[in-house]
Amino acid sequence: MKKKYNYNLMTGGILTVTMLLLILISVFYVPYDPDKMDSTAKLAKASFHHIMGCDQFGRDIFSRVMKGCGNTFFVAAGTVWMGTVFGILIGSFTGYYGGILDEVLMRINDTIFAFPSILLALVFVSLLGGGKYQIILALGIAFIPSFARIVRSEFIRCRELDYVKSARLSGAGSLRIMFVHILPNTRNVLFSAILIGFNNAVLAESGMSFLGIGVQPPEASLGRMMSEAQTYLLTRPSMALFPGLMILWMVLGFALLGEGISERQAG
Amino acid sequence: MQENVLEVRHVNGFYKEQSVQNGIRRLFGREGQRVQVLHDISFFIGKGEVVGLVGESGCGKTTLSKAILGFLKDREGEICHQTKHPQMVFQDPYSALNPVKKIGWIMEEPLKNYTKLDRQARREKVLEMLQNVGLEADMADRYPRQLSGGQRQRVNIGTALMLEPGLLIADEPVSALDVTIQAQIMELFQELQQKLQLSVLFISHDLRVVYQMCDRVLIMKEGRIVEEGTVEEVYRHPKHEYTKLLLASAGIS
Amino acid sequence: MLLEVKNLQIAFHDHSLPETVVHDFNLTMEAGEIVGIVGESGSGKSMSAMAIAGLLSRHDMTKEGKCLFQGVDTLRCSRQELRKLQGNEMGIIFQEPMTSLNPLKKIGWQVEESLRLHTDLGKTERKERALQALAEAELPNPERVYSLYPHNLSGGMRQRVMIAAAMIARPKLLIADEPTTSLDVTIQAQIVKLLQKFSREKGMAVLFISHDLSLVRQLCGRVLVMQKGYVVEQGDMETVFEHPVHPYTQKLLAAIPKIPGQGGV
Repeated sequence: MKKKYNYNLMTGGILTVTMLLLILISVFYVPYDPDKMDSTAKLAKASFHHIMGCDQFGRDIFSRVMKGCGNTFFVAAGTVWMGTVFGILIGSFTGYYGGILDEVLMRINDTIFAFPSILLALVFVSLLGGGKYQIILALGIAFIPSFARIVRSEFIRCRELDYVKSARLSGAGSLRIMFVHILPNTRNVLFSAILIGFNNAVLAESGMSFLGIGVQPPEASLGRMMSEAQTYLLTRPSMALFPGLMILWMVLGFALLGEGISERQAG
Repeated sequence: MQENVLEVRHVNGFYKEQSVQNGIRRLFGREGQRVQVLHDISFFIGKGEVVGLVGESGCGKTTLSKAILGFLKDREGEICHQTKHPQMVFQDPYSALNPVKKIGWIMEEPLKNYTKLDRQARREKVLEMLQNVGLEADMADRYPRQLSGGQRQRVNIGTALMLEPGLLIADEPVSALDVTIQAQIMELFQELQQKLQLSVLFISHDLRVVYQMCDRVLIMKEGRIVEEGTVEEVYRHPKHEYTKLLLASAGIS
Repeated sequence: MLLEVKNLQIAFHDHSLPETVVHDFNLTMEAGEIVGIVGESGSGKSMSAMAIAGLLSRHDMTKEGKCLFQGVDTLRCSRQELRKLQGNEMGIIFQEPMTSLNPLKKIGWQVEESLRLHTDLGKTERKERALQALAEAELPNPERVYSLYPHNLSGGMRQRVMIAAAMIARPKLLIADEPTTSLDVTIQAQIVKLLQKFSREKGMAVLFISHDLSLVRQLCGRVLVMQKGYVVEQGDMETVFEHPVHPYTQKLLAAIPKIPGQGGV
């Protein structure tokens, strides 16, 4: 029988790698200064000079998309990083020890979980003000509960297994058991949670920037670009189309990658 | 008088039932309902002696082993060890090895935590132990999933022996294995026991295995030890009705 | 002849090379006979029994040979025909009494299931038959057990319920796949006695799959020894156990811990 190819993994990998390459290039080189306005090129159509055209201020959309991808990626990665680190800390302690600590932290967790993450982030932003780092903090806090929950349930599953008892008899302390013995066993579940969480973060960032409370102008972000484009949606649809496609590209890449990896683990 | 490695005197063990009612009680800071699972257990294990503990599921065998290892918080009575690090061999060779760690890492773990040996010395000890339990040296760099059930159980025995423990608790170490593998592991166990003069509490439900492995046997029922004696005595002249029933069920009497 | 299996061969195709897990398996059974299949894990004993029961219908495997149960080839007949046999003419019990009962349904409902599917008995008649089956499986207080849920029962009682559910339709063949492995030895002995009683009183044939040689010895009249998909030895109990011919059978028997003066297995 012929070998089964993991198409999800391949497609997802290609999409993600090209996206990362684009972001990497944008750090060193963009065709035009993304913030430079050119009054002669207002709302220019796509051409050889501006391959995605220009916006209402004459800024090159391709350059802005490149920078915008970077910003969106940075915010999403920061959010997921924060959610994962604190999620692991909270989830591992509550899952391993149980008892009162678990009850209290998990009820707080439930409370945070009960709010839609965007709404929660809105509240934080109104307290902290807008901007890249504030968004990361706000979304990060909103993301902690879901990670904590996943890690906790994995810890509860693992703590009863014989190898944990065996580790305890080998003289390993609680911290060593938690982070050296049990944590590596959660990596499969955690990894797919990170990929899904990343996508949610991309969409949340875009949504918040669209509402005008994310990355602040003149800096570019995919959500902000779409928000600016909506006035010209009928006259110049490409202005919204390209950032939108980029969001799709990013989210699809990670989603397929996650799917492909879980397929490989199963098979 | 013979020196005893383990002495258990009048131990009562309790267990809190995990139920909704008890959960609510705990929420209000009250004690949950205790169920007594061990009733006035007393026995000893002499140096180099293998003592069998026979009983059916739910009779308190596992709770007793937990109590000896100090994992059971709610207990009364005295448990005296003459040994620093009692070790245990578990029943299920699959869940007893951490799936993401290499065999060498797993076997080194007790040395890392309890001794000051450097990496080189630890590695040497691991290789030596692998040889003792009849495994090739290259097993150290494999993952548990690459090993068969019998090989895994050899690793478990090796890990338990790394610290040269004075007391070893073997909880059904062969009952999850196929009968031919079971025979090999029993042979290994006996060989090591004689070589290292191990004192073992051998928990099993299989009377034939216990006969072959043990010097003395304890028969346990519903949290009490109902009969105790040398294997020959108990198997030839069982006194308690329950012992007779067990022997008859296994087709021995 | 109740059951006739001829040259049964089972192969998997989910890897690059087809892997044959059962080779040239032959077996005939008469009514009232108790036949044991022994072997270690991976020997193909469960696989053969499942094929006989018509429970192997995966796409990534092929079955060759013939398996005639009362003239119907269970390897090839249609699903309708199979459904007529399973739970009716042919009863099946599995190893795990914890998972083979539906936790959300009452015991009575589960015991009656095969009557509901295969007969047009009314509600009261079904209940009567179910109570009778529970009583025959020697469950104490059948009336009470009838309205309990699986989690109220111990492992041994659940296995009795499974036997009652399999026996209610008066099958001619009972296929028991390691039915006592997860049970305590005193309970094991009781279950074995129960199966013997049914076989003797109702002329039911039992195909008993187990890795436990001493149990097979207590229960069966004839035995097949399997190793790596092959039947390496078969014959009546005394001959195989007293004078094993194949080296693997000898090895298996030697692996059982002996108690001197108590006879063999």
